[in-house]
Amino acid sequence: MSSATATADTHHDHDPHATNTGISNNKLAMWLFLSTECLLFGALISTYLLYKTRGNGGVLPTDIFDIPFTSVSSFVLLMSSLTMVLALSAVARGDMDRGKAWLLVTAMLGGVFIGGQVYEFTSFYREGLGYTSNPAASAFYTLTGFHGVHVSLGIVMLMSLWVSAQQGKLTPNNAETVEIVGLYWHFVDIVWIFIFTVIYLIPPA
Amino acid sequence: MSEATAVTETHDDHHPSDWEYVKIAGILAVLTTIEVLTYFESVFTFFETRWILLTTLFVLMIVKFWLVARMFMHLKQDKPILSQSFAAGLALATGVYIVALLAFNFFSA
Amino acid sequence: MTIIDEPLALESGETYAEKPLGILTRPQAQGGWKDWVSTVDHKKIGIMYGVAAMFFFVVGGFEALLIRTQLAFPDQGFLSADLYNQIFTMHGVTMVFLFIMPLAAAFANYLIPLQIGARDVAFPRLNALSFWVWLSGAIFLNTSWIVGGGGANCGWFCYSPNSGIVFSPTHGVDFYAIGLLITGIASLVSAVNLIVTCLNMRAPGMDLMRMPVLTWMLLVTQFLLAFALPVITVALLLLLFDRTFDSQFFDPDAGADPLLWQHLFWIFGHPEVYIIILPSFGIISEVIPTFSRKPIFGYTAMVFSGIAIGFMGWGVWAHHMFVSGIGPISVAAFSLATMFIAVPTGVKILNWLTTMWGGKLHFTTAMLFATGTVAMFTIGGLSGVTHSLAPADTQQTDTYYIVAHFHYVIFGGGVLGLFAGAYFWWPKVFGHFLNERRGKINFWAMLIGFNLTFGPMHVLGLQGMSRRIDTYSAGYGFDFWNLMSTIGSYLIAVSVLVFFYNVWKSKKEAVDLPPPGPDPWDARSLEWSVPSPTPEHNFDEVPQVESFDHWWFQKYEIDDDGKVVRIAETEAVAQDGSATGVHLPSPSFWPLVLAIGLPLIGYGIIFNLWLCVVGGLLTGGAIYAWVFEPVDDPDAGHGHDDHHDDEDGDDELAAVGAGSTGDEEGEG
Repeated sequence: MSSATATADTHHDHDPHATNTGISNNKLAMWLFLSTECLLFGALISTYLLYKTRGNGGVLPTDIFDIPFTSVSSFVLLMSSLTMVLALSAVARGDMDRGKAWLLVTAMLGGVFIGGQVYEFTSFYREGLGYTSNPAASAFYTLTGFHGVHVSLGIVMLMSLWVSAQQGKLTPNNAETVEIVGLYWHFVDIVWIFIFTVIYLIPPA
Repeated sequence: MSEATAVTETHDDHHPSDWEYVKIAGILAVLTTIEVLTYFESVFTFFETRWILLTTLFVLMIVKFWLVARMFMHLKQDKPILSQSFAAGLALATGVYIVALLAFNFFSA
Repeated sequence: MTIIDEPLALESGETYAEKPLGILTRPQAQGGWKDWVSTVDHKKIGIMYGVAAMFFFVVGGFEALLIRTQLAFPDQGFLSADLYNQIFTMHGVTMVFLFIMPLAAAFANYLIPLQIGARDVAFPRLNALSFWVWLSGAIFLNTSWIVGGGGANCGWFCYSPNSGIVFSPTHGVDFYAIGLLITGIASLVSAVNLIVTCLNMRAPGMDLMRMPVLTWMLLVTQFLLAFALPVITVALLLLLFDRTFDSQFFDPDAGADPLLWQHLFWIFGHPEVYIIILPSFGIISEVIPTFSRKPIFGYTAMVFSGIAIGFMGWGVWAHHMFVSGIGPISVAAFSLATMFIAVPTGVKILNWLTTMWGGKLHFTTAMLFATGTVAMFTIGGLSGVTHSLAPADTQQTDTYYIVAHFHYVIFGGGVLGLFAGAYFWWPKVFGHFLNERRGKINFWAMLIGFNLTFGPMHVLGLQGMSRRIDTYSAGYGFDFWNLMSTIGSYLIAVSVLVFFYNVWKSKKEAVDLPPPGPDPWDARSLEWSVPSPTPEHNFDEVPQVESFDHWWFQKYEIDDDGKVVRIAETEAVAQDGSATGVHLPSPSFWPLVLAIGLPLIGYGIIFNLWLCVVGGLLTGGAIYAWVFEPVDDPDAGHGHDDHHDDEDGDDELAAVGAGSTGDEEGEG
C-alpha cells in the first residue's frame, strides 16, 4: 500500500462531509433540480404562449383576467419570499421561536396564494373558461395548476419543518435544511414572477 | 477544486441583514406596483408602442427575478458553480423554447 | 409518531436488533433477497440495472423477431396491422427506455464512484430509488399487454393526433405515457445524483480533467438527462391530460397544433440519442487504450468533444421534422446545425483510431466489440450526414433508410459498445472472466448478423420501402433484402443466446480457473486498483490521485527516453480489500416502497381514482418514513472514531440536514 494514500484520509477525518466544490451535496442537488425545473416550466409556458389566442370560439383567459386580484396574490407570494429568508436568518442564528414563526407565516402566505388561485379558477370557470373549453384554457390551467401544485408541495415542506421545530427536532444545526426548502420556495416564487408578467400582464396584441 | 473542501458555513459578514432583506422586499413591491400599473388605461397610453410596453415589463421582470435569485437565494454569496448550474438550465430553456416558438412563427406579425 | 431512541439494556449484553416501531429500523440483512431489495450499494444497484436491462433486451428482441418474421416475405399477415403497430412501438420503447438506457445506467452506477475514487454516490438511497422506480415503470409499461388492451400502437415517438383517444382508443397509449413518466422520474433523480457525485465526491487529486473519459461521457449524459427529461415529461402529461381529462392540447379541430407534440418530443428526443450513445463512447475510450497499450489520444479533445456533442445536441431536434411543414427557414437552420454536429463526433473517431495506431493491439473480445463500435458507428454516422441534407432527407424520411441509420448508430454504436463494457468489466464485477472463445463467437455472430439485418435496409429504403408498415406487396423488388434482413435478425438472436450461454457457462467454469485478480487487463483507471470482485467498501484507503491514468502510473513510468517502464508489480500496489469497519451508508426499504406507490397511481389514473389514493399514501408515507428514518443504524459497523454529529440517533433531521445518509464519505 503506497504511503501516499495514508495522508489522504486526514482530509476526510477532519470533515466527513467535505466535498470537492465546498458546497454540500444537498444544496448542489437542489440547485441542479431547480435548473431542470426551468425546462419543465418553460415547456408549459411555451405551450400557453402558443395557444393563448386559440379559443375555439369561446372565452380566452385574457378576456377574463382580474389583474387587481391577481396582483394582490402575486404580492402575497412575493412577500412570502421575504418571510422565508427571515425564517432562515432566524434559524441560522439560533432564534428558533422567530424561525418557527416566520416559517408558519410563510406557509400561511403560500396558503393565501393558493386560496386566491382556487378562487380565481372557480370564478373563471363560472365565466365560461373550463379546463376543457379550448386549447388556451387547457394551457392556462395546466401551467398555473402545475405552479400551484409546486406551491402546495412547498407548503407541505414548510409545515413539516414547522412541526419538526415544534417537536424540537429542527435545530440551528439544520439551518441548511431550511435553506434548501427556502431555495425551492424562492424558485416557485420566481416562476410566478415570470408567469405573472408574461401570462397576465402582457395584453393581447 | 479536487481537494476536498470543508463545506463553508452559510453565515459570514457578507450576508444581508434582516433589515436589508426587508428593503429588497420593498424594492420588489415597488417594481410589482409599476408592472401592475402598466395594465391600467391611464398609464397604458404612456406606452406608444407594444414593444416599449413589452420591454418595460420584461426588464422589470428580470430585475425582480435577479433580485430574488441573487439576494434571497444567496447566489451572490455562494460559490459560482451554483449560479452557473442554474444559469445553464435557464439559458437552455430560454434558447430551446424561443427557437421552438420561432418555428411556430409565434413572433411574426 | 413516537420513536424510542434508547435501547433496552439486555442482560446478555447484546445490543437490540429492532426498535418497537420496526418499520423505522434500518435493515440489516447480510445476504439474500432482503439484502438486494434494501441495498443502497451502487455496485449492487448497477448489477440489478444490468440484469433487468438484459431481460428487457430479450423482450425487445423478441418483438424485433416478430417484426422481421412478418416482413421476411411479402403479403404476410399473421400479425394484424394493429398488432404489428403495437409490436414495433413496444420494440422501440423497450429497447430505448428499458434496455439501452438502464444498461448504460448499470455501468454508470457501478463505475463512476470507483473511477473517481469514492465509496459510493452522493445519495445512496436516491440511487436505490432510481432503480426501483425505473423497474416499477418498466413493469407497469409492459402490463399494458395484459390489462391495457394491448401495447401502445403509436410508434415510440407517438405523434398526435394519432395518439389521442379517437385513434388510439385502447389504454396502450395511457400505459406508454404513464410508464415513461415513471421511468423519467427515475432517470432524472439518478442524473442529479450522479452529477453531484462527480462534482463533489472525487478523491483528493482527482481534478475534473483527470477523470477517465468514461466518467466524463457519463457526466455529460447525466446533464442531458436532467435537462431533456422535463421536456418529455410535459409532453407526456399534456398527452395524458388530453386522453384522460379531455383537455385540448393536440386536437386540431379545437384549434390545437399537433406539431406541439413533435417539438416537445424531439427537443427531448434528440438529446436522448446522445444520452444513448455517449456511455458507449465512454466505454470504448477505456477499452481501446487498454488493449492498444497506449493512453487515449487527445484526452482533452475527447472531453471537450463530448461536452460539445452534449451542447450542440440541443440545437438539431427538428431534423426529425423536416417534412412536417415547419417551413423552409426552420428546415434550413436545423439542416445546417445538424451538419455541424458531425464535427465533434468525427474528432472522437479520429482519436480512437489514432489511439490504436502504433499501439500493441490485443484483440480480446472487449476490444473486438470496441473496434466494431467505431466501425459501425462510423457507417451510421455517414448515413446520418446524408440525412442532414434536408432535400435528401425528404426522400429518405419514413423509409427503411432511416431505420438502417439509427440501428447502425444505436445498435452498432451503442449496443456493441455496451457489450465491450460487459466483457471488459465482467471480471471486476463478478470475479471471473467471460470466456474469450465463446466471446469471440458472440462477437462475430452479432457483427455479421447485425450487418446482414440492417445493411440491406439502406437499399430497401432508397428503393422506397416505407417504414412502419406491417407488410409489403410482392413485385416491388423488396423481397430478397427483406429475407436477408430477417435471416440476419435470427443470427443476432443466436449471438445473444451465445452471450447468455457464455455468462452461465463462464460462471460454472470459474471455480476451476485462477481468479483474475485486481487488474487482469493491465488497465489504467482506479477501479483496477482494488480486488475483483470489488469489495463492498470499494477502496481500503481513498487514493491520492496524482495524474490522469493514476493507476497506470503506479505500475509504470515513462523513462528519459520516452519508453514505458514497469516500476511495480500489480499485487504490490493494488489494494487488497482487507480494510474493516469502513463506515458505509445504511440500507433502506423505503425506496422500494415509494417505487411501488407510483404504478398504483398510474393504474388509478387509468382505471379507478381510488387506486391513486392508495398509491399516493404509499408514496407519500414512504417519503416521510425516508426523511425521518435514522441516518445510520446504530448497530452498523463503526471501526473508527465516529465523526457523525448524532451519536445516539435522536437527531432525525440530521438525515435531512446533512445528507440522505450523512455517511457518504467513509473513513479509510
